[in-house]
Amino acid sequence: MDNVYIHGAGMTRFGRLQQSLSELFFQACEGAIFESGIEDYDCIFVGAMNPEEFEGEANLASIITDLIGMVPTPAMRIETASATGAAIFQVAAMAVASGVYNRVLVLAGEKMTGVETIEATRILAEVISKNERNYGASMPALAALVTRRYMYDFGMNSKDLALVAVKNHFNASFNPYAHFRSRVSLEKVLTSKIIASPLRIFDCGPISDGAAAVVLSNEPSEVKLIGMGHGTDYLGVSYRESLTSFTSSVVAAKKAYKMAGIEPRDVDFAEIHDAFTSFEIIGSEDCGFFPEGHGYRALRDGKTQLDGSFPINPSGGLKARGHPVGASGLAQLVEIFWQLQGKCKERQVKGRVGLAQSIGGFATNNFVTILQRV
Amino acid sequence: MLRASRCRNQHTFVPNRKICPKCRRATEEVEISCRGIILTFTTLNVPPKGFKGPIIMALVKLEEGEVVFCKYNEKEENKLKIGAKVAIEVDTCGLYQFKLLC
Repeated sequence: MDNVYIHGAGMTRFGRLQQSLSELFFQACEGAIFESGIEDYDCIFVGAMNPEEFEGEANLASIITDLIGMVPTPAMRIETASATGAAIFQVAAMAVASGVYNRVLVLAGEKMTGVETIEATRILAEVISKNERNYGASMPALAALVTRRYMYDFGMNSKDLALVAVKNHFNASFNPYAHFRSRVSLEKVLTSKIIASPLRIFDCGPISDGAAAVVLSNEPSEVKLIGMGHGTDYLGVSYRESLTSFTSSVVAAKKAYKMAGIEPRDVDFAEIHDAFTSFEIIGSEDCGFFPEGHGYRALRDGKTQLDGSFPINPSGGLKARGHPVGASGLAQLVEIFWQLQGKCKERQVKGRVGLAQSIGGFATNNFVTILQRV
Repeated sequence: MLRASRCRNQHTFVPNRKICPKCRRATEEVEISCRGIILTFTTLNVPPKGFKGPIIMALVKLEEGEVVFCKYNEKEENKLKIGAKVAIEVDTCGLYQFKLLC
């Protein structure tokens, strides 16, 4: 992959916001257009997981071109559950790489707080297998099953999980776009309510609103897309090859490294899909940064902190920057783009190559994308 | 015994599936042992709309190797541990539930 560059990015703040989904898209899009200086696009790629149920909005791609004054520009929507933002980026990149389009605008967002939390939990649970839903299973329940097994197999404890939350809230305290700007103590995390044992409320990503936008072009810029990969897994968690590693992430990472012609050791920092604290640890292993069962030890040793040897989630991650499901995968790439440009001030990390790993559903449709400063 | 689906490549699934998700071949119904061990479990205190918590759920690995998603009809998980021996039965709603074997 050597002809897709990022020219600009924009984001709304993430959190419990007053604006509608359309207004969020508009704001993110204005930011990206301003930053890139590009006004005309060959196509607009739009990502949202479930605006039909969260907001009662359908035909989103057409809504967007009308909203942002870009009729009759082509526009389409892609959906892969909570990895939608990564999926739309990759599809848009393929369109540019193929030569069909030269300049495209990529948008991803979700408005989740317009419905009550119990209804949002039900909508989110629709992405898991119907068989498991019949038992009352939810995303936190499945994440808890995986987490307990990882703890049993590798000796991780609840304090290790809490360290992910403490670290990511600390990072988010420097991120003006984050849902949570407040830091949390280890004690506060470890005494918080248990949602699905052993996961506590601070182990779970929040329900957030927000949108992100990126401008891609085949004309050179400071930051280039060098690799991307994508894989799926069986819907039912009972069919999985492993309970402590996500095959779809492993497949996606291998493809992305192969396309980029690099190894995990060539990556300088990463944004990992920490919808649950244990997912950051598992993701760091699935992407090859640490051997299986060693991700939590790297965390304990401080390697994944902002000033560590391999920072993970400098943005605060899904855990603290927030998790508007359709937007998160693209927001990860916005963070990497801004990090590679040296624009992140107090949360700035060093490095030339950044990787984003995004999980769709219960790790059934995962993406890995690698960016490099030219 | 539990009803399961098996394809000619010996991939076996509980609950039943007409087409094997691993090799796309048609399956036929077989009976397999209902005994197994707990691979992992959780107590969900905040269930989705339409369910009353807490709900205890587990993945159980049966003697022949299949993994089953199932529930535990008790209020507390304190007697459960990974590796514990269990037997699975089907409740009146068609859901799998397990009981601890001593």
